[in-house]
Amino acid sequence: MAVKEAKVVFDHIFNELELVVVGQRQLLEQMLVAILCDANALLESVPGLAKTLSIKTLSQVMDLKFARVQATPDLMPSDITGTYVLDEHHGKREFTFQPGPIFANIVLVDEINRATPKTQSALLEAMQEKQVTVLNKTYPMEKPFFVLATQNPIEQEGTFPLPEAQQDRFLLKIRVDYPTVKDELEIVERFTEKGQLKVPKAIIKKDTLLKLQETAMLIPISNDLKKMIVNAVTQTRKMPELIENGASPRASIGLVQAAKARALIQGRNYVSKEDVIEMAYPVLRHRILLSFEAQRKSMSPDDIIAKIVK
Amino acid sequence: MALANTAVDALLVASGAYLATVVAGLPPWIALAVALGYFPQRLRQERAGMSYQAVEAKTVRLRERLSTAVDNLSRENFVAKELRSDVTKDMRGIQTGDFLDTRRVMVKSSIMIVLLLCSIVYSSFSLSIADALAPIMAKARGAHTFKGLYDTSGNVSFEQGDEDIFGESSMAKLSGKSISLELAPMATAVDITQLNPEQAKRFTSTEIPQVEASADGAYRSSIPADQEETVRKYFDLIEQV
Repeated sequence: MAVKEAKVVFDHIFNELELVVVGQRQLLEQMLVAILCDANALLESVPGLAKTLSIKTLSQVMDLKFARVQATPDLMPSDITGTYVLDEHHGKREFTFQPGPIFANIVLVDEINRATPKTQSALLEAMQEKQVTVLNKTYPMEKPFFVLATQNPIEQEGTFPLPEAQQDRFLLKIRVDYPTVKDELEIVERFTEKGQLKVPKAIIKKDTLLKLQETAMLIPISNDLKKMIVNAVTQTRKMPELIENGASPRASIGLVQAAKARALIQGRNYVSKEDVIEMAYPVLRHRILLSFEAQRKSMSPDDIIAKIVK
Repeated sequence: MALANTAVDALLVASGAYLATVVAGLPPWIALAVALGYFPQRLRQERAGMSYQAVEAKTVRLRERLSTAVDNLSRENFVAKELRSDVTKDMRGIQTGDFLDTRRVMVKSSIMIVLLLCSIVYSSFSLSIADALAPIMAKARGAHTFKGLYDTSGNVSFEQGDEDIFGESSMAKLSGKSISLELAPMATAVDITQLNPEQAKRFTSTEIPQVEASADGAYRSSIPADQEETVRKYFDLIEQV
């Protein structure tokens, strides 16, 4: 699909999404970036900021199967991946595999930090391998496959925080802020008055999304920008006074892919420096571990990333 | 564009070189030679500097796109081809004037005008730094302007020979001959052969006689005939100095 045609498609997608989701343009864009990169995203926000609504609306607009998993401490791996159950069919009893909610195109895992490490691992394995193995049998995931895992930054009691090595498997860590006053007024109007809510219609099909994913990875990037990306990522390993552990080469790959996807969404057939700077924050913020000195100065990962890219 | 920039720079160099030749008293063709020597080297530099990065820097609409297209020349996917096609189309719209740095040209032209004005002013006042520096240069060399009056160790002596007091070959031969000169200034007559110890002199003014002089009369009235030519040439040389 040509880049200009892709831009038209994305404009329609955003128009349709904004019929339901007010504001949150950055959230929608970054979710689209993760989908185009055939990767997964970690979303950190307080409750009530339209996380579920956004991803559900996105699945409707893209005509994709959507599944939601609420992670709790008693959630088992088989609750996610599926399991064999004894089924009676035509007088015969046999074990049949009942796929779990992970066998959808878009999976929302709410509060992943509430699930036990064992359950987290099962999910992360599925995310990484795009397949599930149950009783020595492998079941591949249907393409496209996107997992949006959420975390609540304020209620950390009784949680199992994702270790940094596991967080590294998410392409983006999306941070959602409160809407503006104007947006919140619009939200109140839409959700409190009857007949204001619109049902989004499907804009693209699965095949179109797969083509868009292919096109995104074909967007050319200049050597200077590649060097800029690699320098930025290696710089995270050379700041011991602020960063205890820097980002891995996976971050360099992720940033290139994310920048390409953003360029396509913006309707450009080349990656611009602006794409790299914009995507540096969601790509790097969960891959750097702040030192005690940085925490003492109340610095956030975004502050350090701003120093590096600017 | 490279040719135009080089021509402007060469003219600037020529102006500077011309001023230098005027100041140093050298022939002006040296300025032309310097400019002609500078021109090909500068043109080579200008052409080498017209890289795609320079083109990208000058053209806003090509920023980032041109370098991305160049870095991905080997890729044959449809997106890279689309980018190349767009860049080629935009490059056709680039004009030579887009690369003209008018501010720089104005500055160079102004400097050129100032240099030429300085050359004109300098020539019109017939100044010569070379001549002004000659005594200093001669002293630095250990030579003396008045050759024959001082030797290199600074002692006063008279070097006899067939050169005049400025070291130039002269018609006047000072060795072995005595020249009787009677100088006749306007109001008084001074006979230098009759030098008396200093004494108070009483000068009386006399009426200025009507002088009807001809060139012959002024030079030849008291000079022996066979030495008139010599004395005339001597005064001519002094006048030139």
